[in-house]
Amino acid sequence: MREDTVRSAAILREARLRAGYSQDELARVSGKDRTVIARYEQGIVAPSLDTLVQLLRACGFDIPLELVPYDPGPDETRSAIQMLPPVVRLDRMLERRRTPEEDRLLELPRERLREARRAEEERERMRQEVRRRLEERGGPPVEDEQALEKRRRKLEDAHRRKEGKDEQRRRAWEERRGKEGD
Amino acid sequence: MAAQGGAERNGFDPRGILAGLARNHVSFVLIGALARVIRGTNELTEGVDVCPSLTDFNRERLAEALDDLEAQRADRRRLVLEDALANERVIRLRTPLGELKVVPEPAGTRRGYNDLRRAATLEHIGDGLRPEVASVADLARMSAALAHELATERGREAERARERAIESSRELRRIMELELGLQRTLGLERGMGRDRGIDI
Repeated sequence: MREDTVRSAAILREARLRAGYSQDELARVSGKDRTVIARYEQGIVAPSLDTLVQLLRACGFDIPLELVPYDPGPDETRSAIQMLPPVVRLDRMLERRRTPEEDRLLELPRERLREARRAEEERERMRQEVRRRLEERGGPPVEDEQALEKRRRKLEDAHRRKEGKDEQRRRAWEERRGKEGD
Repeated sequence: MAAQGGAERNGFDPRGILAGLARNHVSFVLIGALARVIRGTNELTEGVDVCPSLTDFNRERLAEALDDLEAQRADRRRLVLEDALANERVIRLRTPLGELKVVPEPAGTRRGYNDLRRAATLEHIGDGLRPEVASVADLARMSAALAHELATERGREAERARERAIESSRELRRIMELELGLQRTLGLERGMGRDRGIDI
């Protein structure tokens, strides 16, 4: 690959990949020969600017041809990394990896999922319990999941109501005691 | 035997994994994101990808190394290395030191290891380790081929993976551009150094 062809080769290949074309398909769409496209992509020959634009357009892309000030930013970072030995590049990447706090934040959705699974397991356990009790009473086996779920909810509500009443009674008793104390 | 080497932050210790392979004399070429980082891309990774030699002897050594590294399949199925090497494109494993992917024939290569090792070079990565790392051109080729393969797949995850592959391919091409520029500056471009007794 020649230094002066790397850029056009890279951009052409990227456009083709983004369009999801094989070299054959691009040849068909653009009307160029496949071997010519292969030579462009390998950087053996550089396409003219007009040919490059034509091929990019065949991929559904365009390249803005207007003058802008040159920004060496990303190139400088890349050059700086290139100057580092491999051992330092690896250390640098390991340093830049997530902090434990970031890890914890990323773990949160998974924790919620686990909680939801635990709750579902608990509901399933309760369903089994309801089914067992109903069968113990001698009724017909309950196969309908919806009916089972309805009964489970009913039992839960009854339990909740009972707890609510107990709590009310306890408060009333405490109030009475307070008044008597006064 | 438990894997040696100090675990890096968050339990990912690429050197530990590579040391496990080196300890068991496994022949492999380092590929994937870790290889790209070693070649100079500015990305992050959580795993080690390797393309092993598929000779019978190396398969045995690889099996021993995976045992040594306490590697288990990421999908929790039982690991039968022979079957996995024959039938799977990517064997995803989990070890106490991080993820390990074994790729018998990476996208865009022919006969995997034999293809990649031609241009691979030994790189010092610390702890006395010198794995064979795939060349920038091969890494770019693999990323491009992967992006092309993913073009036929649907779904957000495939789309993201494809974008990543395209981005990697582009970054590696820029590194190639830089390397060629450096070689030209130093007068070491293929053929140019012959007069000086240097050929690369």
